[in-house]
Formats: sequence, C-alpha cells, structure tokens
Amino acid sequence: MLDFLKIYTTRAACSRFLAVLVVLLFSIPVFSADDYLSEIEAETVKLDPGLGFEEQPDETGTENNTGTAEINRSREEFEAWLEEKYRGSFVFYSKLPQRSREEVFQQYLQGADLKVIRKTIVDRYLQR
Amino acid sequence: MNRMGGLLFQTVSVSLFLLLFWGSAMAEEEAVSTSSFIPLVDGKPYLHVIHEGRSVKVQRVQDPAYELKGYFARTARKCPPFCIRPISAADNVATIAEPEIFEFMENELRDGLGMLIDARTKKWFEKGTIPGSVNIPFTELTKEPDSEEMQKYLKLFGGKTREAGSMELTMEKLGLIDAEYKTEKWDFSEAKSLVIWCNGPACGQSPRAINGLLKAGYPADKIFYYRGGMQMWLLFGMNIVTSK
Repeated sequence: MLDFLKIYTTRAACSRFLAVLVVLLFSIPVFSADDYLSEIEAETVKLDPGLGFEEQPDETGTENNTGTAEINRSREEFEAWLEEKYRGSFVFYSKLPQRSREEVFQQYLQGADLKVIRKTIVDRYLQR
Repeated sequence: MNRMGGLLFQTVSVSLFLLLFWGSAMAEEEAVSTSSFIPLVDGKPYLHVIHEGRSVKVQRVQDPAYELKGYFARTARKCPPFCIRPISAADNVATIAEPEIFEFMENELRDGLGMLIDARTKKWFEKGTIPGSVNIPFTELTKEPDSEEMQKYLKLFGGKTREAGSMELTMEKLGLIDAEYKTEKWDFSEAKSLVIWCNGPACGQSPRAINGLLKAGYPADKIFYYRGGMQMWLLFGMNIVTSK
C-alpha cells in the first residue's frame, strides 16, 4: 500500500511539474522573425508625421533631366560666398586666371571638400 | 653674383610674405567660420551628399535651444524586442559614430566605393532617412545566402561570383595562394564598404542585416555598424530627407 502511494505521489508530482513547465514555456515571450517584423511595423504608427526637422532648404541641389546632381549656385554666388566666409582664400582666388577659377568652381560643383578647394586655390596661386 | 643674391633675396622675401599673409588669412577664416556656427565636427561646417540623384546639404540645427521631440526623444520602448543593443553587432565588424559617417560620406560614398544602407523596413524609410542612404530592409539581407535576392544584393555591393576549381580551392585553403575576400562562390576583393544603420541603439534591424551578410560570406572588415542610427542622428540635430 505504501509503495503504491509513493509511486502515485511521484507520478502526480511529475505530471504537475510537466504542466508547470508547459505553461512557463508558452508564457515566456519568444519573438519569432514574424513577431519582430509586426512589432516594428506597429511602431511606425507612433512616428510623428515628420520627425521634427525635415530636409534643410538646400541652396544647392535639384535633379536635372539626366538624374545627375546639378548644383544651382552660380559662379557669382560661389564667389560672393567664398569672399564672405573665406576672405583669405578669396584674395588668392581673385588673383587666379579665368581658367584656374573655372577649375576651382568646377571642383566646388562636384562637391569637393572645402579643404581641398582651398588647397587648389593656393596651389594654383603658387603655380604648383 | 650680385644679381643672383638679389634674386635669392627676392624669392625668400616673397615666400615669407606669402607664408605670413596666408597664415593670417587662414586665422581670419577660422575666426569667421567658427564664430557662432555649429559645425558637424570641428573644421567641417557642413557637407554635401548625393541623395537619389540630387545634392543634399548635411548640417546641424543652428538653434542651440532646440530640443528633440517626438518618437526619437523617447527614452524607452518595449523590451523585448526593442532592447538596448551591445556596442558590437558582430565579431570583426567595426562600430562607427557620426564623425566617421561624415568621412565616409565625403570619401567612399562620393567615390562610389561605399554604400550607406538604411536597413529599416520601407515604412520607416519613407518617414525620413539619413541623406545618401539607400533602403535595403533587413528582411532582404537575411535571406538565405543562395537565394536569388541575396545574390542580387551581393552583386550590387560589388561581389563577383567565381567558379574556382578544386585545385585552386585547396591551394587557397593551404594558404599557398591569396584567398583574402574570397569564398568558394564569391570574390569580394572589389566589394564596397557598407555602413549599415537603423533606428538607433535599441534597434535590431541593422544587426540582423549585418549578420545576414556575414552568413552570406561578405567580409566583416567591409561592413560598418552605425549603432547611433536615426536616434543619434536626430539628437545631434542633423537633417534628414524624405523620399520623393
């Protein structure tokens, strides 16, 4: 009789343990790839219509017919900007022949780094 | 001899004048350029990047009192799945920050040697993205390495398929011939550098994309993880673009 009770209680304990394990397994949030994707998509609803600050009014770019970048700032505007912001470079620039000025302007249009543009100005001035 | 001396004196004087004048001119420029303008980083007020065929100026909000509001100003989101991510997305993949992004934009991206990848889903991309980015959702970059889609992307990134013979492969394995950037099926020698980003330090989309690419054999040292993502980009007041 005692042996029977022991077996019975052990079996009952085992089944209770298994039941708890199953419940635990299903209650732990496990994110499958699909769940993750749906959570991400749900988050977009919380986004403001516009994140705060949009694209800066860009004085440089519009798209031309060929789809390549075209910078709208004219050479006069570029020179005025250079004079205002980088007077030293402008002094050297203004002493350059037309051909070199055009080269510098083209470099600017292609979006070269300002350091590079200023170096070109000095190089051309020193005829390197 | 006197003439030579005079010429030498003239050359030295002109050089000295130029040196002094250039020095003072540079100092003046620095003073002008750093007066009250908030640059991207020291010495770089702004930069231009090509986005969808047009030039976009990248710069910071100039109002020092500006405060970030809205979704990306939130301190917490549900975790999981939006838990704070470790600094590294994968072994041997470098994690980078904003100054490196600027350098990347002005060099690899401009020269066509790199791609800035917004790994978020299309809906996020459409709300706004970092200038110069292309949208390749992580769902695309986690496809099986042999899938048609993944092959398309690997080719887009500059990978080339290869059909190496068993002898060649053995020699590569033994280190007898150079096997850097090569797998059994791909040659990534000329593959582009990829900067991959998503919503920020609590976003798992770009780490997933990175791991997908690594699984396909893309070299880890050609992948860069911008962990800060959109959240840090906006926090520093950099502008974003919306798709046309």
